[in-house]
Amino acid sequence: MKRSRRADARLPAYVAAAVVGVVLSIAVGRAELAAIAAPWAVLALLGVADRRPPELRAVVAVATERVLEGDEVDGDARLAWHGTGDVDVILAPLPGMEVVAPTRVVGWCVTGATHPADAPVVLAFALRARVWGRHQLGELHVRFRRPWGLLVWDEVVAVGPEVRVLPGGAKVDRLLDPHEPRDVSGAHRSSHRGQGTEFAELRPYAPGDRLRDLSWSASARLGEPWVVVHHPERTGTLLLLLDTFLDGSETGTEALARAARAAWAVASAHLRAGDRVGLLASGRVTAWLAPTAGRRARYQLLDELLSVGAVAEDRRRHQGGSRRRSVPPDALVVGVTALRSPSFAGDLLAHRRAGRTVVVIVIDTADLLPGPGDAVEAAVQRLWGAELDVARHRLSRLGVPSALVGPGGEVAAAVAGLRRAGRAPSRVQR
Amino acid sequence: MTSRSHPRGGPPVATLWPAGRRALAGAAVAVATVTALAGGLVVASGRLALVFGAAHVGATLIAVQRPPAVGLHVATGSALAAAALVDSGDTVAGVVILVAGAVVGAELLGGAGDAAIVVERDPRPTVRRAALAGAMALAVAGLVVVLGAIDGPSGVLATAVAAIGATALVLVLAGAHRSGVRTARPGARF
Repeated sequence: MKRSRRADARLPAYVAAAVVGVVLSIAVGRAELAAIAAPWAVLALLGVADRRPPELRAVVAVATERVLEGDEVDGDARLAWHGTGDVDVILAPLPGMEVVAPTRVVGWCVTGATHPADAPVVLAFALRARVWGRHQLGELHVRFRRPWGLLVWDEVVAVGPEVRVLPGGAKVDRLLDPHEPRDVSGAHRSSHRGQGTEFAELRPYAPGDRLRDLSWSASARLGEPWVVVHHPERTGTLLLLLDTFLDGSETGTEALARAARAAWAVASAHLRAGDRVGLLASGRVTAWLAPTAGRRARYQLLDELLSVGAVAEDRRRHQGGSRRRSVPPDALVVGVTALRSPSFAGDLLAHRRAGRTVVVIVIDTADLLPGPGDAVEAAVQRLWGAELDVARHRLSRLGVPSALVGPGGEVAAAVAGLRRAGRAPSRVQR
Repeated sequence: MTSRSHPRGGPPVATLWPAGRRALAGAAVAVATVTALAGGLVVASGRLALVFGAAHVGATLIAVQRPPAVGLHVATGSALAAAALVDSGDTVAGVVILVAGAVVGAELLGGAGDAAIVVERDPRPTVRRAALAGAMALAVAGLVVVLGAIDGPSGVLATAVAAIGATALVLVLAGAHRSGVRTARPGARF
């Protein structure tokens, strides 16, 4: 913990005034000059009379360390010290959070020893999770001064806990179909025939067919036994390709937040359906998670997403990306991007050229732009929107369909649009 | 956490102006103005006191902007009192009041500097402390004047007596302060 003691700016001034006054008084032999110096001397001596360090101790805690975006987090800072003093306390910085209480900052001024001698002062605060990610709640900075004291102790007495803000909002109830599902039972209709629930065709009964597959209505109508043939349901592999080509602006951070919300919504739906889901973040922040399924995969994926979010919020941190990436050839690649980076579009096309099915969820950030001030700005913004359309059209021509997610985060509609561009819908298996 | 450095490396400039700081800064300027007017017009009625009075108000305005410059306020306040002493001959009662005014102003400026933080500070404890400091300054300066006026030891000896008296007063006040300390239980954990 950082700790420093410094003198108030008044102390050298008081000492100098006292010394000069006394010296002049002695030099010219007039007690009146000592009268001018004496109050400064008294204040200076009072200011340094109590030099005991306050021995500050503190703990910062929050009620819950995992919240959704927009949720409130209650917490408190418990602070104790030795002796009487005026204490200024600030908890900062608070990345990804906005302050609900006590004021617009998490800070307090405690005047004098207003707490019982054997109990710490409890300073309650409330925050609202603003941006998804893994956020360290800063440090507790304390400034302490004794009554009449001209010595000031500045200390960092505690470190805030880590809060994991989960992306909230969008829910998806339909799945994107991989090009060729794996040979494991799941939610995706296989192109093969076999046991399943999805209707494929009617055909005449053949030796070996199960009696339960007989279509009694068709058999009665046609006068011979006919059976219903189904498509079996299989699990698939999904690779989320997250665009993190941030420009460092608020707009870029918000675009990434929207992209992460969309990615998490799609991933959650597919993980619930038993699919394997992987993550590849490319851009300024890189992250790689090999496709896996199950509950553990859910936590791993969330962890990677939160790490990306934390980097987006805290520009000092960088994510490593040196692990070997092995993208399964049958994976459905879902790009989630604002489509402003040519190199990200290049990545998408590289996956397409490798024979994978690639679809793109395009995050619309037009609403984040400030209103046009004049005709030139309006033209620039129109051009900006046209560039996005051109990029989408180019991808579509090369076999990569895309769907736009607006500011409301309508991921479900985007997924439905992408499904219309591909196959017939299939419901999520819950 | 309350100030930033000047782009060209000058002294730190407090950039936050919460209501508490504004109130204390306003009070400091008002006290300095009254002190300067009292020194230049009432106590001394001399040119030197007027000049130092104006300098005192100017120094206070600077110290309001730059808390580390409180030394200017203290220096000009002391100089104003000394100038008033020169201009008024041997009238020392007014000088004592001028010193007390400078002390009150300095304490208010110190409080204003402390209040330049993002957290809203209640200015009333600082105002009380400044008033108490002013009263103490009156008492201490008055005591020194009285001791210096006693027949017998004069000049250098009177100054020495005054210094001893002031030290004794400090020790008494510091002792009274310590007796009021409420200490958290040593080793208390939470």
